[in-house]
Amino acid sequence: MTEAEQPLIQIQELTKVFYTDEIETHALSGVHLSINKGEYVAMSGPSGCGKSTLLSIIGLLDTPTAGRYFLNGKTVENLDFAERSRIRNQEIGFIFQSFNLIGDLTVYENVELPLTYRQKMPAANRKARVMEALERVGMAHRVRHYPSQLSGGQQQRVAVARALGGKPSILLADEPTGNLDSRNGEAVMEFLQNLHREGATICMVTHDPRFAKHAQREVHLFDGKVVAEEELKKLLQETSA
Amino acid sequence: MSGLLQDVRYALRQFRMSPGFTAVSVLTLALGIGATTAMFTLVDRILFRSLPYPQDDQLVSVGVVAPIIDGEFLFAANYLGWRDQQTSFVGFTSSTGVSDCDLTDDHPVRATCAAVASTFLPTLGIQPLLGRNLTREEDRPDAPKVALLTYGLWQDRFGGDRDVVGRAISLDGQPTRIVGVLPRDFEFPRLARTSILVPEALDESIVQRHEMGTVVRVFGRMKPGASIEQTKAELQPLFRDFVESAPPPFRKVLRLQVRSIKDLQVHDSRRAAWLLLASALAVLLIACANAANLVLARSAGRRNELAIRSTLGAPRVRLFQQRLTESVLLALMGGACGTGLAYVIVQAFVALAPVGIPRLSEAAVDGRVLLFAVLLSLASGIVFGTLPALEKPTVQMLVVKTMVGTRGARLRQMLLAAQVWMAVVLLASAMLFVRSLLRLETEPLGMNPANIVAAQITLGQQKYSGAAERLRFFEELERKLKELPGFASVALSDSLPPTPPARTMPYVAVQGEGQPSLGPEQGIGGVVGWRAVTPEYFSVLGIPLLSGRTFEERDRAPGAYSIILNQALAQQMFPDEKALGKMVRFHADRAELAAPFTVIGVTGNTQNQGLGGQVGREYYMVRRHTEDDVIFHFPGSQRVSIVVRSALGPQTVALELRNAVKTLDSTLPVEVSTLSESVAKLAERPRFSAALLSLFAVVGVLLTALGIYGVVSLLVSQRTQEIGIRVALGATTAEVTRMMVWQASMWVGFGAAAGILGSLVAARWIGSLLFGIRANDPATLAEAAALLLVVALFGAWVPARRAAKVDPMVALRYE
Ligand SMILES: Nc1ncnc2c1ncn2[C@@H]1O[C@H](COP(=O)(O)OP(=O)(O)O)[C@@H](O)[C@H]1O
Ligand SMILES: [Mg+2]
Repeated sequence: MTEAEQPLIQIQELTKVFYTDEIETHALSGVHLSINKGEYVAMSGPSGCGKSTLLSIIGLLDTPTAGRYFLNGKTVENLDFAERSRIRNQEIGFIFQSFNLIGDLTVYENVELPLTYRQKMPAANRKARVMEALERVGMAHRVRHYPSQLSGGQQQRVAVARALGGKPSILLADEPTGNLDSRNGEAVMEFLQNLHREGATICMVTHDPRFAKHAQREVHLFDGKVVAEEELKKLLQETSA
Repeated sequence: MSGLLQDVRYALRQFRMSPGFTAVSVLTLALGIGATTAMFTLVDRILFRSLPYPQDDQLVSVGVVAPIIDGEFLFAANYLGWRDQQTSFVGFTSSTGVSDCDLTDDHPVRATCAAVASTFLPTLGIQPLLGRNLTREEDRPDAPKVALLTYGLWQDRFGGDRDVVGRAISLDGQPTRIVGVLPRDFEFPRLARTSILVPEALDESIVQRHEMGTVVRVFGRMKPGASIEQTKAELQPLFRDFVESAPPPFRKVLRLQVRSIKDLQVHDSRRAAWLLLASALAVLLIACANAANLVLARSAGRRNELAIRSTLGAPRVRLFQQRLTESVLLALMGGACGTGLAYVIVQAFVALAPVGIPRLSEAAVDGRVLLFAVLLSLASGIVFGTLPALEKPTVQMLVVKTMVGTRGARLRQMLLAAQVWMAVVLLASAMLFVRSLLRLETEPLGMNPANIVAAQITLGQQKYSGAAERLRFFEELERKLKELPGFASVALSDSLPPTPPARTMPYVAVQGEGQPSLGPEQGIGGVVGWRAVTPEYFSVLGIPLLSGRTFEERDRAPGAYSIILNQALAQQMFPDEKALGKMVRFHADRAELAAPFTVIGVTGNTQNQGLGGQVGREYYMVRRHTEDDVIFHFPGSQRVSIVVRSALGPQTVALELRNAVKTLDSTLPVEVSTLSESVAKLAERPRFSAALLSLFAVVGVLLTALGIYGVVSLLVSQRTQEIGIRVALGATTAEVTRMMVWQASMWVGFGAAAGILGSLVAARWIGSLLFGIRANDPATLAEAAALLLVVALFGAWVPARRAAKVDPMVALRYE
């Protein structure tokens, strides 16, 4: 396989079980998924079907109970905490539903934050990256502001800039519009689409079918499994009946 | 009422839900309250206790200060004159001092007799518990002997028998009638241990004969409302007469002294006591800052909750009440534990304390102090605990879920810095004290106290009233001891270093051959100490001989006049030449000192001004085999010290010594200890201060570490979300730990720097309490600051490491 053909993310037979108070929750049960470079994938499904769990495993925030996961062709199961941190920092950009900006830091510092965890990056270089990212989201004029001084839409744009600043291989977004009104939500979606056109790989969780349409490909999750769209419809009808 | 109950229940639930916070808060308050209360209780005995005399502020010690005698005094002739002429006092009395005396009934014991004027008890305002005071008639040289018993002796020796008054006892072999028993709280003003009061019986005819008489200590009761300055001014004419009657060289150095009895008692421990008190206060402040900091940190974490409650319509008063309840409960729990701790500390230190701290053994935890400490901690808890409830809740607070952060951190960090600041000053002071103590204990003494057993004997007044009896005893003792197997090296002296020589001579009266005598403008040139020793004294104590020889048997023969100088005296007396072989003349109206003495040797200096003193000039006379020997012409010749260097163990030597003395006089008490022990005893006070101060420094440092630990712990739990985000964005364990520690350490560093400055200020105050180390010793200050930094950073590091274990998944949750 040449590099262009190799999927960026390849997941096989992935399961995740949570144990709480002797209750086993099978959040994921046998998921297969691959995402190629430059793809824009939307993940949808009803609440509690395992979307966030899958995304957190893809983002190396969590580890699967069983199954295989190759990132850039390399298996990630045996990495230690420090190596996982390094990969998160360099390969993955996160956009969270609740923005997760740090209130004590200015817009500039928030965007700079992941870059400060890179040992070898010169300060000048860092500054250039931060400003570039902030310009892309149209927030360069707000560098000295604190998150509390921004609107929700603006905060999410800063969060996107933070994800972009590290020039990651893939952007992971978990319901990025969940805390936004529809106008601001549209704006963020549009922005992600622009990024995709410029070559970014994106994996976005949403349960809003309108936004899912923005993506190249839609993956449906139901009860911890990937299902085809027709099957999903059938399943949904069964459950509502 | 139900509101209060509900608040208490809610508060208790809060404590259960954050057991770490609760434990640290209570521990902090307990340490602060306990340590402070204990310290105050101990120091209060020294500084603030009222003396057991009515209107004790009117009581003063009066006298002239001269270099030959320690403390203010008058000669008997002056006292009698002043007594009749003074108009400043409503009571004026004297004592010739406290000395050993023997109860020589069927079961003889050594007691201490204070010889006082008949006006003594009335002046102090003391009524005997039983019987009556001494009368004027009894206070005469030829009067029948009478005595008052102290409460302790009455209980121990006479079983508290109320019929003891009027009974005859034998005191120093003389029939003496008991006329009264002193109240339980009787205390001799100079704090000497006393068991019997006897009349001083001054011979008033000395005034007509123009004799000075003996040295007396004089006490007066000033007129109500009179000040010490006023009284002192009124005494000036009498003092001028005193000066004019003194030998010319003395006139320049005399000084009138009038001071309160409290001053007299605490003058040397006052500074140390204040220092200890200040350290206790610092510990309490650190504890309060700690508690405040914890409460503040927690409040910051509960802003959300407050805001929600407030939006739900809870009146601000209720929110305030709830906080108040929590703070009060915490302070009460801390106070309860602190009280227990205070008792333990007081017990421990009473057990450790040296003698001479008045009535320390009766020290009990002071309720008022405890109350003060609890109130202070309560106040700090209330102020800092309720501040956040007073803040107007804003919508901002409700939307913090979109961002995470720490607000109000500035005040907390300033409190942290203030704590570190105080802790550094405390620690630096304690380290200085400990170092000073170490120097004091390892100070070169100019002799070798190892393997030496020392014994003290004081001959009773009755059996050994004259030079002949004393000489016979000393001669037999010396012979007997030398015959004992294993006692090859034994010597007698009238006193032992490092305590000062028992006798002194004005320098002006000791003139070296070929040296000019002091001019009148030079005064008396200070005093020179001297000791009367047997020839083996130097070899037993290991005092090095610098030139010449030490005493030999021939120096004790009639007609031999030999003297040995210590190096300090030799250098001053003969600055440009060898002292050896020179003559020394005494300008004293004494036949036994009329002949010139030949310097046969110069020895090294021994420490002779107590531990940590400046080595003083000193000379040695040999003890002769004659009752006309010079020692019998000076007071105190009934006292002798024996030193034995022996390979036998100290217990064996002590036993042999006692037995030897017993064969000479079975009723004579002997005090035996190793010389090292008695030297160590001299460092008791500084050791006590150093121990107390160290305790407080350790508590202060622990509290500071605990405070930082608590605050950082809370920060970690409050910043879980933020830390999780950072970890999600790629921060490693080390980076997260470093961040948490760094944020605490900036202010710790700031506090430590301020602490060094604070120590420099404090240095001016404690300098005089230190020996062999400067109060601004840079190494000590730097070490104290560094030690505190390390401890503080450790306190921050422990919880910070927990931060690094935060699950980055929290970044994905958004409740
Ligand atoms: N940390 C956890 N512990 C226990 N159960 C969890 C945990 N995280 C998620 N789950 C459970 O796993 C299932 C999938 O959750 P999630 O991936 O968050 O769903 P979605 O994002 O699709 O709404 C749910 O049933 C949820 O309750
Ligand atoms: Mg989800």
